Amino acid sequence: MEKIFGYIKSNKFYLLGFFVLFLVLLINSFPKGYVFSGGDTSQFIEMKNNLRGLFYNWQGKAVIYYSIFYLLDILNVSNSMQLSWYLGLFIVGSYISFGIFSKLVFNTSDRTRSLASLFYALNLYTLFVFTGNSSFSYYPSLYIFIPALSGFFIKFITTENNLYGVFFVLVVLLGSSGFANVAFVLSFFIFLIIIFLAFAVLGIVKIKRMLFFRLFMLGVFSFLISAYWILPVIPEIKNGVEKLRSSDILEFNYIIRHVTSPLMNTLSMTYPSGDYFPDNFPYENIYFFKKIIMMLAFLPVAIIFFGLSRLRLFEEKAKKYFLSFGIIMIVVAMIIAKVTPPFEIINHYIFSIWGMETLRGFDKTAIYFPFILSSLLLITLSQRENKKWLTVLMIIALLLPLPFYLGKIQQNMSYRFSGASPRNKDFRKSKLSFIVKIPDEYYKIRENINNDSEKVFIATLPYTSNDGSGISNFPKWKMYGTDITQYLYNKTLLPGNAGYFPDWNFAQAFNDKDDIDNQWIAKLLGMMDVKYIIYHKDSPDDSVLNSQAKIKKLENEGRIIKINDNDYFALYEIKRDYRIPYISWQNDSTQITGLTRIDERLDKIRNNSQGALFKEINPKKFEVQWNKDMIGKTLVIAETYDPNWKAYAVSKNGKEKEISGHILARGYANGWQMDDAGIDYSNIDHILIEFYPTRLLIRGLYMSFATALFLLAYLLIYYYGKKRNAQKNQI
Amino acid sequence: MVKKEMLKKIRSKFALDSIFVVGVVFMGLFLHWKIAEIVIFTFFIWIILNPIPSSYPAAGAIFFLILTPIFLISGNAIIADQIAIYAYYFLIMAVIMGIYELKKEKEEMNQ
Repeated sequence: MEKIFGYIKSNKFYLLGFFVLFLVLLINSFPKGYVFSGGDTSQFIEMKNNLRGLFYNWQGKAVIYYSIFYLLDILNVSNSMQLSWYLGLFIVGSYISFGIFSKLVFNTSDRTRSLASLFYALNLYTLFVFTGNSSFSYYPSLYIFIPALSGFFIKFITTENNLYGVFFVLVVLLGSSGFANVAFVLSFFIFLIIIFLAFAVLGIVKIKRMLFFRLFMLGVFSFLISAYWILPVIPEIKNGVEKLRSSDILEFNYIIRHVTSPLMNTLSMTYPSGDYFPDNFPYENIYFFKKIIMMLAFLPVAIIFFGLSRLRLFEEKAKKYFLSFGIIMIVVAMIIAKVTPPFEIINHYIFSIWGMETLRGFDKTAIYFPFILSSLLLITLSQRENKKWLTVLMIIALLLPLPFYLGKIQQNMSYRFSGASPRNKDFRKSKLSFIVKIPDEYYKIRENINNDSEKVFIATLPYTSNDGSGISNFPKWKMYGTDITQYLYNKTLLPGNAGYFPDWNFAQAFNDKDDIDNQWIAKLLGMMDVKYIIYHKDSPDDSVLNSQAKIKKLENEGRIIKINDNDYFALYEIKRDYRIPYISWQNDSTQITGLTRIDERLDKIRNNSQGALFKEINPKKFEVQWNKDMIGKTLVIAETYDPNWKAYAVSKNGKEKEISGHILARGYANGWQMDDAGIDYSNIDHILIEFYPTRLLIRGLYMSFATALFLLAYLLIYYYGKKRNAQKNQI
Repeated sequence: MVKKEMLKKIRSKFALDSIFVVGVVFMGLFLHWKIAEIVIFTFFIWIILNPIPSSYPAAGAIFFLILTPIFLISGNAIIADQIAIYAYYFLIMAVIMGIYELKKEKEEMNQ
């Protein structure tokens, strides 16, 4: 008991910080019945039904993060309440993580640690994150782990004690969801290099051959423990970078010039576009405060500059660490600035290096800046503890993200309302919102769809205006982003706005084609193994106007059968004759290339196809029955073409051989022609179709698990040895 | 005699530094830099050749940092942006001077 009181007494300010965070959470609770969806991320609802799918579809990425929400879902924590958990995990996690960093690297007084950790958790950058659209997902979770990872890394390179390396690697595992966007791996790697070089310049790190060996081993163990998500990513990295370079959705040269943060914004931690606080200011009654906050946004950096001007009064260690972080700040600010003055030339060359284009987004590099500032503030405050006014300034700096303390960050502060006048910044008045209420009608059709055991897809129509990335647009309930209703059903959703055929969007063609005879759409969707169509009446009026009569005609002709009809959508089932099963055999290689002779081609494909008998081992692996009649035919799986889908001929003695001749089938899908001269077709037992990254995922899982076990065993042996030595010394 | 030689040394260092500085000015003019940038860069080169306490450039950084939001809220975002860049330049100078001071302190301690 005495120990507990002693701990509370010596950590009272740090514990008080948790209370502040709790109040922030309380005041920012989310309205009951609402969920978060907008832009290219949405809240993962119904996690207890979706975690398995997420594990396979995302190849293990982010599964650790979402396991928490899986547990919450099992405990019947509502989706609205889970939003507070996203915020809570982020700010409390960041607070603890910075506390760990402070204890490890620069142990200060309780008050200073609390202030700097609070600054790391609640600042204009974290407010930017939580008023934007990526906040209620795994996406920004790296932020939580940056201080702990940096702390263990710094301790490792300065002390060369393996123990810190072990903790670093274990935190890499814990925070692996933050690396689900691989660009963060690169940016974090660069960040560690900058830390290392800065510490080397200041002589904090002694450059020795042995240190490089240790760093190499740290890299090896970090790779091994991350193998479960890194291995599946490897086949996709090259394609991904090339896609980014040639992407017509986000033209690279445009982005590199426009997703930049001039030094003024970086130093004040404000987002340059003006869509976020304090530019986006929702408080009508205290509007004069906007300019004050814009001025005070520079206060944290001013405190740091003050520290720099008093450097001679610092202790030697503080001086060295302060200057190291000063170097890191200079370099990171330069990278964040991209091609804005005065870095146009140098950053043009840096971002032209292969792979660096993945860091085009603001957050890929800016995510590190709050940590750098917090560290410099920590050192400054620790060295000037007797200056009460400095503490007062620090408390003012903590109040800068005002909306965190006034509450309702998504209800009235969202990026969605940035263009509205202060009185109209309200999720109830706004045309679009990130927090939306899924209409009950979407829940009511779950029984119809989820009780169906067939392996089929759900397509959505009509095509609607969107930003080109395929996101959905349902203005009737203010939703504009990734279709969150997809998580309600146990069948994969094929949103009409997304592209499946190269250079052709069938849903758009369905809207645009004036011809009322559109039976091809039912046949086409049937060919794609779509059983259900959700026709969205909640889409923009022009989209409904262009398509409703055509859908009605298909219904009247019996090509689609209405199952449910309400104000938001109509649910249809496609006529059975039109449907080709998920895995099928096709006698020919007819392709769909847009609307050219589409009816004729669809009929031909249907007549030449027959369902295959298959067993689903997991959502990305299927065992297909084989018989000799199939020689010369094409095996087709109704998944969008990806070179990573592989088919293997499994012989009677269990040996696998990859079938070559992977082709684009039916204009969009994966097909394998059964005429590979290297295969002994008489000896085939069955055919295995597998998404190759999933195979790597399973192998990676074993590697990660074995590495984690090894490191935990190391820790056990270490502590057991330490305890034994302590006992020996006592004797 | 010794004094004379010292004086000569100082004079020749000053002359060499001045040549450097003039070279920097010409380089700035040749590259069409703005006057303020030439002045700051010249100052930067000068203090590398003749180090000053880090608190001086740090004070410069604070000065420009205070000016930045003043220009920003008065509607001169472009000027504010430019001044923030000057603050950044002075930050670089202060950090370099800080590192120099630290090395010098260490050398003095070793002696």
